[in-house]
Amino acid sequence: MRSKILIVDDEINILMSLEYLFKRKGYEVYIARNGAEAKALADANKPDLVLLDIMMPDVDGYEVCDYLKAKVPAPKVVFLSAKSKKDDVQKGYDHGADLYLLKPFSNKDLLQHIQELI
Amino acid sequence: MTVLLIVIGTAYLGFIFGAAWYFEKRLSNLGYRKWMPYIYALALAVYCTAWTFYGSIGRAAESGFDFLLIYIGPTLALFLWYPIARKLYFLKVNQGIGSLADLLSARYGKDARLGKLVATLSLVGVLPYISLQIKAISESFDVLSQRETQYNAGFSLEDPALYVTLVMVAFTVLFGTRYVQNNRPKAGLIGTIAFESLFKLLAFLIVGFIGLNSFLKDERFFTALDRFSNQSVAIPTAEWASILLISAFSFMLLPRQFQMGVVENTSVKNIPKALWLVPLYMLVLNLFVVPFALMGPSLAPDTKPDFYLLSLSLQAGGPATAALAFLGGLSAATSMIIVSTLALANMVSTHVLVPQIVWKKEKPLDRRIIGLRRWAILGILILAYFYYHYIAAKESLVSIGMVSFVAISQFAPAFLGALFWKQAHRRAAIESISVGFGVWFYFLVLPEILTVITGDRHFLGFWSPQILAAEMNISILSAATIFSLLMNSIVFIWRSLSLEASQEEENQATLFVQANSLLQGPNAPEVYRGTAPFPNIKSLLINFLGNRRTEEVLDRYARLNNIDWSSSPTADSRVISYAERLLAEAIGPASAKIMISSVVQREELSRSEVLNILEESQKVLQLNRELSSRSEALRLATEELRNANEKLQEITELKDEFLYTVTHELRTPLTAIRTQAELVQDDPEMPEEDRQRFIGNIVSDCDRLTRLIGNVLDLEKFESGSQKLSLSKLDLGALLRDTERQFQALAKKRGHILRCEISAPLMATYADVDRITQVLHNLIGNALKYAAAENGQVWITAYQLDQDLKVNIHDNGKGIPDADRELVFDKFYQVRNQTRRKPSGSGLGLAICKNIIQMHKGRIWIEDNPGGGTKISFTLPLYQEAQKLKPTKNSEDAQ
Repeated sequence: MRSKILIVDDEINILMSLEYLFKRKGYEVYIARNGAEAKALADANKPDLVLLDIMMPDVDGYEVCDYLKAKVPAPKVVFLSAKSKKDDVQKGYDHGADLYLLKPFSNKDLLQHIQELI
Repeated sequence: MTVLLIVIGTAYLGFIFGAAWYFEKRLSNLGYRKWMPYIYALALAVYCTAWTFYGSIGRAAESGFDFLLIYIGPTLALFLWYPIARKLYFLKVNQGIGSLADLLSARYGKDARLGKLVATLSLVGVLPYISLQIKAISESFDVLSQRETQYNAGFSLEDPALYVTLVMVAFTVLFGTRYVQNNRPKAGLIGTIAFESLFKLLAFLIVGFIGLNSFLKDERFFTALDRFSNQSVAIPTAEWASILLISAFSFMLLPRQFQMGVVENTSVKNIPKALWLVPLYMLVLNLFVVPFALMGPSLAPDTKPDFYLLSLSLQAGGPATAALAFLGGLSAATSMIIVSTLALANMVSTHVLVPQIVWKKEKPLDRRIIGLRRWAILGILILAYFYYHYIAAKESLVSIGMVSFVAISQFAPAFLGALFWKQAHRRAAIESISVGFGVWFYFLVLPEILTVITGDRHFLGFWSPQILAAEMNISILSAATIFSLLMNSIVFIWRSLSLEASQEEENQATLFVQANSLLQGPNAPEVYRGTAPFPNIKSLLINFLGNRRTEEVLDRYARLNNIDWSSSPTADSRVISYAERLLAEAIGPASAKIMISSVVQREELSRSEVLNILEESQKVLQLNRELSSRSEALRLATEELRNANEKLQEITELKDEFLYTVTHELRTPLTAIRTQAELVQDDPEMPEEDRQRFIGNIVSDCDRLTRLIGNVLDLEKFESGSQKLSLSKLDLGALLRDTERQFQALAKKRGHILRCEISAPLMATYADVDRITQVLHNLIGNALKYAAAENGQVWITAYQLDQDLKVNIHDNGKGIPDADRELVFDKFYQVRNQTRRKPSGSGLGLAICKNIIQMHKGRIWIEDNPGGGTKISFTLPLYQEAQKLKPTKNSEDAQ
């Protein structure tokens, strides 16, 4: 069965390119442009992994992460963020993330990390 | 009425005993320190006696406004009072000064004769004045109880003044002679005198108010007032000048004033408030004098003018009001009697009586010294009582007071010389005071005596004082004042200039005249050298201060100076002069000097050595002052640095924050670019359509990056002040319409309606056209971005408002929350406020707009808009010429 990935970002170009990338690699991909959409899609499709931006309109990434990690079974969560401070990274892990990747990243690295996680 | 007066009089006297006892217990507490300046000022108001309370009205009734001179004199004196009072306070502490006699004696070589002279003459000068107060008490009682005053009845047990006098003895003994050291402040005494001053003021105001209230209903008052104000006032210059001068001197030198102003003062810090409080007090106390003086003759023709207050208050307000007036007079009289008697007793006992017993074998003498003072108090009051009875019966209140004033003024030249003139000489002081008193006696006492002896006031023919004064066309008081002070001063100056001072006197002169510029306290300079066995010094102290007090003061001295008495068998010069000061506080400077000499091997210093020591002290003091002013400057500098540092840190933090946000904003488009570029690169088989899409996106993301960097640099230029405006003529209307046309395409693409409405032609102004264009692009772009998705509308309106051009850009989007109206102009507001975040835009646009508008001295803000949507407005001032607009260096300042 194909692994399901949910990508959440309010930056349309990033969202579209990541969707393209993971689809080409054979994942089942869902995309959300904000936190509320993300929650709804996660409920509906039970993704194995969520790629999550932090700064978004309405609900921020941390809150979405909390929501996801409270589910059983919980999906893996990878933060993709431009927030570069040590504190930001720490905060991401404190919210239960499995990985924190700083933007910009290389597609190769991202794919490799994802494969390790699922 | 008689019974009422006796009851309330007794109650009042009982009350002041209670008050004194209370103050003695409580006032020494530190918590009361903040009240001390007020208490000090009130205590100085002991100047206002029964003579003020009753006599001012009498004087005003007889000779108009000149009663005020007696209060103007002290007010003028208070202008000069601060440096004098400050110096006197230092001298009191460092020289053990407990009275004017102590002061003059100590200054003029610790001379015993001078002390005796001052003490005796003070007694002679002031005794009648005390009698006057007793007389006021007795007469006021008689006026109200309608008794005939029996002056010639001799000693009478029915005279209430007798009992008051005895009570005064008890009070003064109880609260005035608590310590053997004369110059220790006595809290019970100060507190009570201050209380009595307050009481007499309130009593006078209440009675005065009630009186005036009833006079205003009486038309005789207005005719009297009319007459009074139409009176042509002859100005007897000599008389006025005399009264001003002697009242000013008396305010400083009268025994009771010196006692309250110097001896009982607890701190230099008390003085400044008194400088304005005392004149204010005297002014208020005289508020109602004139109305009473005007109504007296018509309402109480049979009463002596001095007691108009009593008769009129009885008529106006009944017995209760009259009783209050009586109590006010009683408080004025008693406070004067207490303090004057105490001060005189201290002088007389210290300078006349104590020298007789200092060699007595039985020791210690401290109780005996206090005992002598108590006997002196009793003696003085008995004398005053009898003097009142037999001599003072006929004179009005004010005239006797004036005689005292002239007498006391005779100390003024020697006093001022003591403080300010190094050359002032001991013998000059003695001779000038004697001459002054001689003249005083001749003019103001002799006529009375002659009358008593020969029955003829003009017994001396042409040389009779009255005839002499009349020849010169001045009053006898003026003649006495002018001649006594003139001759006094001439003798003083001439003799001081021609005599050579002794070493001891010269040292003291320096210490007094330079008191302000020498070190004070334990580091005060020593001007002689000597040693003595410590036990001798100690036993000397015990002899005069008693065991307990000696232990106390020595213990304190040891603690302050880190000395262990048991390990220092020899007292050095510092200890010796400390001991001498302590002794002086108990037995006066002259006796103290003799006592110390009896146990000390003193070595005379040469003149140049003394000068060196004093110079040293001055230098050290100077150095101390410089050091403290430097450390103050350092403290200020440190504070400034700290503030600057804090500001820098704040700025640094802001910069860090800015950089962090900028990098964040850079990372986002970079991420998109990289991801898409890698997709294209890694996937050679990607369909052409996808490839084109990704490459197109990459290009627009690059544009976005470029815009962002451009904005960051722009903003940086504005904020650092390096951005300059290049001004030219601006037709805002044309520019708005142009911009609107440019944006029409974008509006159409989004399905929005864009309108520009300019109702009247706009005046031209000067502005940086490129920058204003940038602002318009930003604002209109934003508005199109945030307008409602369906049926989006944007209106641009512009008009002239006073001296400004105003532009509004209004969209029908969801608007900005009230709380954020200011914040949207902050850098990266979007970033911080995630709910407003939209994918495009740098987050710097509005911040840049704000900077541009502010550089043009305009204003930009979010308008209140209940209709919904966002309405952003800015103004541009109308300028006639380009050069008028000078941008501020930092646009933030313009906020």
